[in-house]
Amino acid sequence: MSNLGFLAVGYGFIWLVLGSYVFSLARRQGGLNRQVDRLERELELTREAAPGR
Amino acid sequence: MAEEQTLKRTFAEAPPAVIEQRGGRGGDRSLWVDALGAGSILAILFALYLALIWAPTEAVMGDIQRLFYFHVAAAWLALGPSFGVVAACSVLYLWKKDLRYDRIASASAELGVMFTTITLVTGPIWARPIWGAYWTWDPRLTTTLVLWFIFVAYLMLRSAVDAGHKRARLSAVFGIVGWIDVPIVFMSIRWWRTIHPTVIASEGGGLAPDMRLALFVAIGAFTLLYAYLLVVRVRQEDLATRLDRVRHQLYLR
Repeated sequence: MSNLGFLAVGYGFIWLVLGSYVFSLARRQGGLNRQVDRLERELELTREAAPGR
Repeated sequence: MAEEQTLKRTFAEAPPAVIEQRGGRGGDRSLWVDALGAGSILAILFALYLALIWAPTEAVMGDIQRLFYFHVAAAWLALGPSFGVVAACSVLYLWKKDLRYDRIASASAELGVMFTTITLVTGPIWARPIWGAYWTWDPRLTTTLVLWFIFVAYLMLRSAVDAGHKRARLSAVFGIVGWIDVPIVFMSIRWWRTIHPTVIASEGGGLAPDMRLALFVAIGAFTLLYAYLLVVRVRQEDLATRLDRVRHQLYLR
């Protein structure tokens, strides 16, 4: 492999690792947001079931 | 039946805490965090331009030397801020017993492992055409590999123990002891015979001024990225902790 080939592999790896990490963070955030939404919906339902509380 | 009534009453009385505690949710991010993210992307693009186009081609090694800028930036991020924050927050946790320090240490360790991985992989890619081998058991390479194993073990330890003060205490002690390898990695090229070049030296490491500028911009760009990813990761941990607490409070578990 030429010098430029090694350079491309090196830079490709850096952005692959960083991209994968950012993607995993985005997925984790999506999961957390869904959990918050579900909890809020359940809380709303309970409020409606026990009005005046 | 009575238990169900108690649960419903708890639900009805507790909600404001949940709604108000959403501060760390992605959609409610503050402007400065978005600005930090945008700034780090712009800085990385500028650093890429300097490293790949603007900086002169090294006379002996040729274009492969352009890997140097981000290889060193990743190594700096791992050895300096990432594992430094792990050690500092571990000490702070043991002192203050505040779990937030434990969450910051854990997020920083994750980033440190990521940056060490980049260092350990880009180094051999650069070494192959220059040294003629991907890997040698050189002191700098070996101590860096040991550091990577130590903090992978740190993350494995955290995933094996339930969240709480016990895990935080174990992690803090492990993080502080593990950090001892950082100065060893840094000093390895001075203490032992090595083929790894010295980058940070009193004479500037023999770098041309243009190359030095490209290196500092790459380090700055990666530092901004680290700060952004750390803030996002810590906020996620905070939110997950609050969710757990509310669920526990509401007997949803």
